[in-house]
Amino acid sequence: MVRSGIPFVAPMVALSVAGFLMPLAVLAAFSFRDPAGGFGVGNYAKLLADPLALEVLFDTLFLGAKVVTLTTLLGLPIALLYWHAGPRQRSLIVFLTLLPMLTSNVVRTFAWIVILGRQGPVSQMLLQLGIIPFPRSFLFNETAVVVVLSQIELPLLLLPIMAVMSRADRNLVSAAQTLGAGPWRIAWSVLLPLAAPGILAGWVLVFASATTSYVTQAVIGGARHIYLPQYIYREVGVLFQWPSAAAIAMVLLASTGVVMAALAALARHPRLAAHG
Amino acid sequence: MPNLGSIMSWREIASTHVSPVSIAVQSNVSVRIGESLAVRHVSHAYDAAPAVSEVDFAVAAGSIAAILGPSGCGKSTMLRIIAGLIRPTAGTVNLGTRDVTAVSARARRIGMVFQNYALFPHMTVRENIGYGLSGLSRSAKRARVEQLLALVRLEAFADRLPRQLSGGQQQRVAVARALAPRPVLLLLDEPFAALDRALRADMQFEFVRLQRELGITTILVTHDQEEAQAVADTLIVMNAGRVEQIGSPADLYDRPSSLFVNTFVGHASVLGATVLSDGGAASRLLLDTGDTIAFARDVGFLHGTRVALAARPEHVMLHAAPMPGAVRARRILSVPHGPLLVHDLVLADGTPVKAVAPRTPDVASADLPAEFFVVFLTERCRVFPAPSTTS
Repeated sequence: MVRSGIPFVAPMVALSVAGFLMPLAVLAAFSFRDPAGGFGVGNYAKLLADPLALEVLFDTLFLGAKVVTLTTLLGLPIALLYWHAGPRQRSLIVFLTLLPMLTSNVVRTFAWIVILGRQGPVSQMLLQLGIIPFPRSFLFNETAVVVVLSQIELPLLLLPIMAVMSRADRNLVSAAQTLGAGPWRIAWSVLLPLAAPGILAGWVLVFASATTSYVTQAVIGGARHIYLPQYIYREVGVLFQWPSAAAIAMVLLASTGVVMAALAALARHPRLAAHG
Repeated sequence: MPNLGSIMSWREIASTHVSPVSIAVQSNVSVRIGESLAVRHVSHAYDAAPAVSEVDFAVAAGSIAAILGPSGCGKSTMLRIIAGLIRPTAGTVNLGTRDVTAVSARARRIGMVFQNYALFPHMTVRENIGYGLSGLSRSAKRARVEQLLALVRLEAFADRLPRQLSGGQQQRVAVARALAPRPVLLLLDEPFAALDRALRADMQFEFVRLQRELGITTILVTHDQEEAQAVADTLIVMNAGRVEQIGSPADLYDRPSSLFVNTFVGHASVLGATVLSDGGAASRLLLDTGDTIAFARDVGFLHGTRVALAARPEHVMLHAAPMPGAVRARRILSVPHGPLLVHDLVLADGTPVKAVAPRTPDVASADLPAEFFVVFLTERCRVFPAPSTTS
């Protein structure tokens, strides 16, 4: 007798529909409303014809790419450290990775204001070293946003990599050694492919998080450099253009969605799907 | 029988397999590609917990040796020490005439097959086999990989990923990958453990034939004594980090040097007993059941020593009626094993005894007597000091 599983998944489905699908559908419907009260693609046409809006859109996607790049450069050495660590050091590394996540995003962003501010340690150190002639702020530029977002999003990259590595077969490295491979070749040809599913999963999380991180983008980037989340806020909070804001939100959703779908498709490649 | 083509390819591999080292060592023309291995007084401890201590053995060039022991006896550690993956805390490892203790795994030219095969999951069969051939030109590498694919008969699977292969095929890929860089020694860690029973026997036979053809010195680690006997020329029995005995399979079975070897290699029933007499040419044992059995030889223990008598099932004779020197035993279970009947018996003091006897066809085990009188073939049974836990 085949027992149906529907009663068991029904609450979950109901919650998803009510809390997630319905609002999204309302938002999508909203984005097609024109100021006159009719329906059409006017909001999208206006958005795609606006050079500022397009610049903001591409800046946002590039911001995501830059943060992904920097977290990867910072994260891979930590991942290597994790691979070579013993069980006790491994749990220490996981703990230290999780530790920043215990404080809120907003608090960490404000901590960075202090660090990068005019009287902050970075400015003071460069001043004492004679590299800069007078104290200056390092806030309100894209580099600062990328650095701060990378620090905040780094755990999102590291955790999936560590999850994959903790399940990986250490004999693969031993096998490569007995076959004459040196440390660099092992890192490149064995460890990297082994960690690849985790790296791709981490990229998806970091990209999604970095492109939509309103607080950090607004506080560190300032008003001169704005990204799509702030653009949406401006439409809603300042201009009260709800349909237009909904259209921008849909474009943000679609463009990050395409990037994430591409990464997810890559992760399903047979050579990578073989493990993890 | 394999076709002629595959035999030719094996020969070809053997003849192209000559390493500069073995040419230097042996000036005669015979193609022996393996190196002899000598492990001298090797000890190793993980965080002060000894894993192997004072292990000392040698394996002749071209032969197969099996390191046999229960799990946790240090046999896998020993294999990793030989491979160079672990640097022992004491002792040396010699390959041929060279001391390789300080040589890294990378530079040792030792092929290793891991228990789970450790095939690179993101590489095809061809790429896996070619991994150790990075020093060769593209065409030489391709030719070598084709040679090995033919050797393990996996030409049709060259472009598959490991997870698309069966366990037996994966095992063959692992062997081919280990052999590709022309190693002087081949190590295998429980190579047949992951295969089902029927396939295991085939793979063992196939492997022995391959090894004979190539003549590569081989050491395999196993906990399965039947596997060790089927494959190896020499068995090295390890227990608790030490070598218990080294010898041919027949040696170990017929002349075990310790109670552990006697019970681990083949089956043996162990009976507690006390030595009654000494000094003469004959001894008597007082079994814990109260029976006395006579030995034609001096068992070599002083009067009153607690000993363990080890009797293999074929050295236990069953009689239906009491007779001198016989011990009363209750029959628990009789299981037919082809032409034999394996009896599980229990003595008066609760000691279990296993016996085999030829099976009479068409006699149901229910018709067998509930009680037997057991005579031990004392000229075959071994006597050891009693294990400290039972004395």
